Amino acid sequence: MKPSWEMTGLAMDSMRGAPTAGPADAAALNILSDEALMQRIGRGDEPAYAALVGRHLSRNLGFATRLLGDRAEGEEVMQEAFLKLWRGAANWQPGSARFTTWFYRVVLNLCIDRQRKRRGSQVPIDDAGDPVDERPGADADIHDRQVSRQIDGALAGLPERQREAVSLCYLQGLSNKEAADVLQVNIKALESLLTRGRAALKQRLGHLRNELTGITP
Amino acid sequence: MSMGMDEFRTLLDAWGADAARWPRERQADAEALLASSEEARLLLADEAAFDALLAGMPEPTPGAALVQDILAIPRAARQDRRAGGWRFGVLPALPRFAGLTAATLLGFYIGTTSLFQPAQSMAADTETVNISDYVFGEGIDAGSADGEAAE
Repeated sequence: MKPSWEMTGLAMDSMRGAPTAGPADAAALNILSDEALMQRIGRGDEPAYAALVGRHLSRNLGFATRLLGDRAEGEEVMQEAFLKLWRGAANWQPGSARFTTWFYRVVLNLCIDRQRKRRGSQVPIDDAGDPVDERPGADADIHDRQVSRQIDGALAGLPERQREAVSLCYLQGLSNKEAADVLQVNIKALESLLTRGRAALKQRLGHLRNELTGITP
Repeated sequence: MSMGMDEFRTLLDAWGADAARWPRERQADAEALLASSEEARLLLADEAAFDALLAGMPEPTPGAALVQDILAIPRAARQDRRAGGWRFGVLPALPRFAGLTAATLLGFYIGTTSLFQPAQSMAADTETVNISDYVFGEGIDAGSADGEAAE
């Protein structure tokens, strides 16, 4: 059973918003669902907000960066998305939907807005280069980083809707239904997007597949 | 109804090697084919390798500045609202608040990062879905962009 708001002992003054909880409270937040954290955030609970940021920033940053092909834009989208989350949390309807699905939709919409604005006036995403993390301390070793760069490049070459579908299902790990929810399409349309997206990726990444499976082309 | 190799390939082309993603009505036939066909098993292994390639992509590590800016949003939003609603915008004001508040909340961020990830449901589903029908109601919504029709 998940602990209730009272059981965690967090004392937040939602008017002043001053976080007064310590490490034990952070541990208590860890066992709450995303949806429960959203309810707390709706009451002005900043530690709950920090906990939700901790859970979802990294993977949504990866999602946005891949969709936009630009790390800096991905970071801007994440700031906008979490601002939207904070401002809208008071209207969150408990039991309405999974937070994860809703938040991916927020991020996707922000990315689509940016893609529309720059379409025709800037470098097309297909030519924008590889959206890879170039910062020191990135986790992968050199080989993995090269592989990641090639996969990111291949993803960047997909049409937007195929890139969204492939990213949600195969990189972000969403279920078919969750991905269809985020994309606002039915399962049949998702299947079509995935089929074309996978085929294009296989063609572009054939050499990596052969390396993995030991198949000689 | 049995499944042939062509249909099995079509299944893998869309959904990959994870049987949990396959439409429920085709799972039993696909598994029967796998039990009897070496060729099907090889195809499945090939797709599984491709799935692993994609699933193994590392997530980016958010920089400290980004984390601080995002954690400073609540305080900046409150300050902005006191200054006259949302009309001045919150994001430009973030640097003013990215210090103490973010430092306090950073502990929560660090304390909660990667310690809890909700399990992902991998069940295939054939329903037509529209998230806005059951989540957004009249309050919080997911933004202004319209989902484009599938290509």
